[in-house]
Amino acid sequence: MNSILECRNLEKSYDGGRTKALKGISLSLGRGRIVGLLGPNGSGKTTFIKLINGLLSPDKGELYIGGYPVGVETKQMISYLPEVTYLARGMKVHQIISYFGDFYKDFDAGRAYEMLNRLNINPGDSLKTMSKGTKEKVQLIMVMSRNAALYVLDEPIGGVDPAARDYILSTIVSNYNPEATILLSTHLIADVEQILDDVIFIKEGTIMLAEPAERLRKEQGRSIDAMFREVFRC
Amino acid sequence: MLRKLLKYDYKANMFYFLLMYGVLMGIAVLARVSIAMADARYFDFDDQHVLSIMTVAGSSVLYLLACGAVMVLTFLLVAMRFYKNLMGPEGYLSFTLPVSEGAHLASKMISGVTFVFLSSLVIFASASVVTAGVGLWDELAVSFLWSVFRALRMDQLLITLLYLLEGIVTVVEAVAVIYVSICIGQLAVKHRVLGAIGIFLAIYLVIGIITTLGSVIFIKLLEGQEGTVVYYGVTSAVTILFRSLVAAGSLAGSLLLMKWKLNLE
Repeated sequence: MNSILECRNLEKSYDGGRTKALKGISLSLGRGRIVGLLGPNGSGKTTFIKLINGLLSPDKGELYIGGYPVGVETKQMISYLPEVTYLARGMKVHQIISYFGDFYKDFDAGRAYEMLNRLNINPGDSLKTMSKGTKEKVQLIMVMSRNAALYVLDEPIGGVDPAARDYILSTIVSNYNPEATILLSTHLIADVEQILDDVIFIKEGTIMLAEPAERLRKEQGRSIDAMFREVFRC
Repeated sequence: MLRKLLKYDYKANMFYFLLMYGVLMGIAVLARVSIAMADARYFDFDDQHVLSIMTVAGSSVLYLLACGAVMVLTFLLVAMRFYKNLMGPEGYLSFTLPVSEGAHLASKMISGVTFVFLSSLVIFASASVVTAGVGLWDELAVSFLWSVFRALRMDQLLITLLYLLEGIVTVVEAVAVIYVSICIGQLAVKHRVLGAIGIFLAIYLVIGIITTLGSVIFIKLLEGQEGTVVYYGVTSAVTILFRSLVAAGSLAGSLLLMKWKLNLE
């Protein structure tokens, strides 16, 4: 099996079916790709990501990661960065590293310490003494220190300053295994455009487009950002 | 994986529990000292006597309040750990660990129940500190406890074992009901904690109504057997069965909600 993620007719709704977040998504993600899941707020990006991570259950359809339905096996393959800070406030950085090391066989503690050192983050510091930006960096370091088959990053550059964005993107690119796939959701297209191999446009729970980035740029003669602005014009 | 989950569940609250137990033991020592002082002056009819009685009464009330607070805080900490670690932002990490929902629930149950028993043991130990070896108080406490034991027919081994099992099942039921209340409460978009408290109270209201009705029926059925081993044995066995069913139902409900209806903040 060459694809890392396969889904067919995936549907998810909220409020007892009144709000349809995903309307029958079918998709296949190849291995070794950096994929941008692009769409405005409320387009269904986070719902799709939560389904991939088993944080929500689909109403209909099928979803497989590495050939397995979402469950304990797939959680072993996915390294997930959510929008929220999911680390316990009272924990120190070295305790978080031990925690990840305890639960994930593919976690590389050496790589985590190396990245912390480069950013001058003291492993003895507690999360509650850190700024929001530093907490996000620590979280990203934990996620990227795994040798996962699929990295799912939900808005990794949303809400951080441009300098931090550059750091985050370079960390993502330089720390992942080329055999792995990165699914990156954002609405800040211009910042990520250059690192994307494939793009997926999602609007109101429907996939509008799923193409290799380079081919799209050539065919359309303009940037992904310009296309995004066109497709999602208010 | 369960072992690892347990390690972190115990570690997360250990500091607060140790602090709480330390404070309780401190208050117990304080009460013990005041009782010992009063004991020595017990038959002195002077101004000191009133002062010593006031000191004993004050420290005893403080000690009893501390015992109550330890039990309330124990359940509160157990509930908070479950909510924060699974239903709050930390849930995004907990539920993406390569661990089944059943393992999460088992870990929270085992750690929660352990902490409740630990708190009970510490309260028992602190009570020993307060009463042990204080002459008249010691004798009073022992004779009082023995009269309660006899009245409940705990001089019979079977009855004692049933009561012990009933105690364990009651704790398991309480923790399971707390968890299912939180799992139901998280389904709401807003006021999840308030919702969970409401659900908890509603469940216990229903349990209360059922047990009251059950007691009335049992009193009728076992008429003339009051105070006998059969009376206490049957009542306890039925209570164990009922509470086990409530606990099992709550755990099954929690598991289903965690698996299919997770609604993280």
